[in-house]
Amino acid sequence: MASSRARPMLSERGAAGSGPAVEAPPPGAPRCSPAAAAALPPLGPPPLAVRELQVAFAGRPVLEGLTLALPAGRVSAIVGPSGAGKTTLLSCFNRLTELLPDCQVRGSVRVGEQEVLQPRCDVVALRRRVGMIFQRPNPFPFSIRKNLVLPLREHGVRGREELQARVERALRAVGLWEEVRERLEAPASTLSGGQQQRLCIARAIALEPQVLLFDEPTAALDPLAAGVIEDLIAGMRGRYTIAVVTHDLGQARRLADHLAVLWPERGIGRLVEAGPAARVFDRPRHPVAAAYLAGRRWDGGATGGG
Amino acid sequence: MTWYERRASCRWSAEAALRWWMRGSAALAGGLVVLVLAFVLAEALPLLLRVGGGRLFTDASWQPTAGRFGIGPLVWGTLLVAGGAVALAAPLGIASAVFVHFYAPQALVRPYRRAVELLAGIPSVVYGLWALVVLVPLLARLRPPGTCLLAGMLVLAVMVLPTVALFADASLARLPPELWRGAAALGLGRWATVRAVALPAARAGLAAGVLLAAVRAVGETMAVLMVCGNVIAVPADGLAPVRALTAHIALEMGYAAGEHRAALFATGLVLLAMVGALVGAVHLFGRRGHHA
Repeated sequence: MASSRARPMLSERGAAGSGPAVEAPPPGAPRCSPAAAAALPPLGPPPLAVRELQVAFAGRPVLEGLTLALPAGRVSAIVGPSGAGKTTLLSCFNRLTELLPDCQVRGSVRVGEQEVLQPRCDVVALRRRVGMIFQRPNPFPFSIRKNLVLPLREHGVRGREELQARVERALRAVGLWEEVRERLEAPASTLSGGQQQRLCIARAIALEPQVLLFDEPTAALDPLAAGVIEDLIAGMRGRYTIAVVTHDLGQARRLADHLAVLWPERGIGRLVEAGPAARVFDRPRHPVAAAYLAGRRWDGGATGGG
Repeated sequence: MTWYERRASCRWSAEAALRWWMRGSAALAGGLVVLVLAFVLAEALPLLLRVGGGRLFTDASWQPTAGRFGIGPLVWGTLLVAGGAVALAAPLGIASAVFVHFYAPQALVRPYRRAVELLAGIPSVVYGLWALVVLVPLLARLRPPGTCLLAGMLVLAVMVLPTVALFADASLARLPPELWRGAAALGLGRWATVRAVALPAARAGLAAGVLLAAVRAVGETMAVLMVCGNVIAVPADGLAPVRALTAHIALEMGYAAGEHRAALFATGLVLLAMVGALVGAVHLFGRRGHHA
């Protein structure tokens, strides 16, 4: 529903936001401006890729040597124990790592053709293209309608009808429209946890992104609400490139087309295995991944087959 | 009785003592407020009953010994001085809190907060003295003698600025960090986050801070008395002298007797009513804030 409408908007905003970059693209350099992306022939959601990614907090590395590609338009699950750097990896794709104090990111992070880590990258346009949903539903403390209208307005969407149409479309897309159409002016905090999370998803897709990052989207929800969110994510397959961080291996198995297993080694997260989900689940090649996916505790290879 | 039961009963009695001590303190605090109110009421009531409370506002002048009790210009004086001060201090105080939260370099944050706290702790007589020596001569160049409504508004604005700033600071700090991450993830810049998310989300706390600043401004006596000129008249402009309710009581209580004295207590009652209305408004906003 989104991509065909998103591109003209992006090109307008991008042209206004990063004019010089469009006029003189450096030869050969990966281009970052959304206007440049819009000039490409129409395509679906972009693939995600990181190469030799290193993330450090105050000089202490938490992710190292990470090279990983997540296929376009697919659902990729990123699993691994706590402290493996899953959320940090996710935050690299929309540069939300910038919010973390003293966080240095090195290497290459790409959303489609866009090199995210380039200083010239227009972060506002990037975050519009790459939406993110967090573990705890975080609607703004405003009405349901304002939660959706506010980011749209900030991104230059004007006009009552246009806004109303977008609000309705986003709420329909997450199955919330019928539940809240009578009380759009009610505070978002009056919604249940699952509804709030769906509102946050609606808020993200109202901006018509191409990529959605889910950081443990169902961890704070009851199983029924979690199931609704899971179905929603599954239904988005093909329209967005989706990366889901999850601790729920059952969820990863149900949702993922592609699977990446991260593992912390002396406090530093590394990729131990990645590939098509079915293959990695059924025939993991790395003993650490095999143990983790089978629900066994890994003891560092002392007694295992590694 | 086993040792455990003994200890339990002992603990119970200590708890009971503590409970009674707390109840006593609470009763004392509440009782004092009631007592003060009752006393002021008792002193003012005979006059109010005899001449009628409305006369305070309908009498054309204040000549209490001649039976004229008009405090209308004093109410105007308080409203203008305090209102003007809050109108100046509110945007500055909120801007100060936004600065310290979102824009100040890390090294500046702590010294800046300490400075604002210090500003809140300076005694009002010092502010008054400073205004009398610095501000009033400047205003006197525009129109002598310089003690006027504007002088009162300005010095009071400086005095209540820290109240607004500290409250705004605290209410911004109370906002959950998920809010920032959510706003950033939606591609909102810093200014957009401040304007469209942070300030509206903190509005209940901001309003409470502004209202408490107004309470302080209405109740402030010394600085206002020192710089306002204290003429009982509705000021024609900002450079005209003005007398506030608080200054009025302070100026005349030394020599007031009989009905004059009772009329001053009636003035105090009006002041109390104004402060009470403001405090009520603070709670109203506070409650609305919880629902939002």
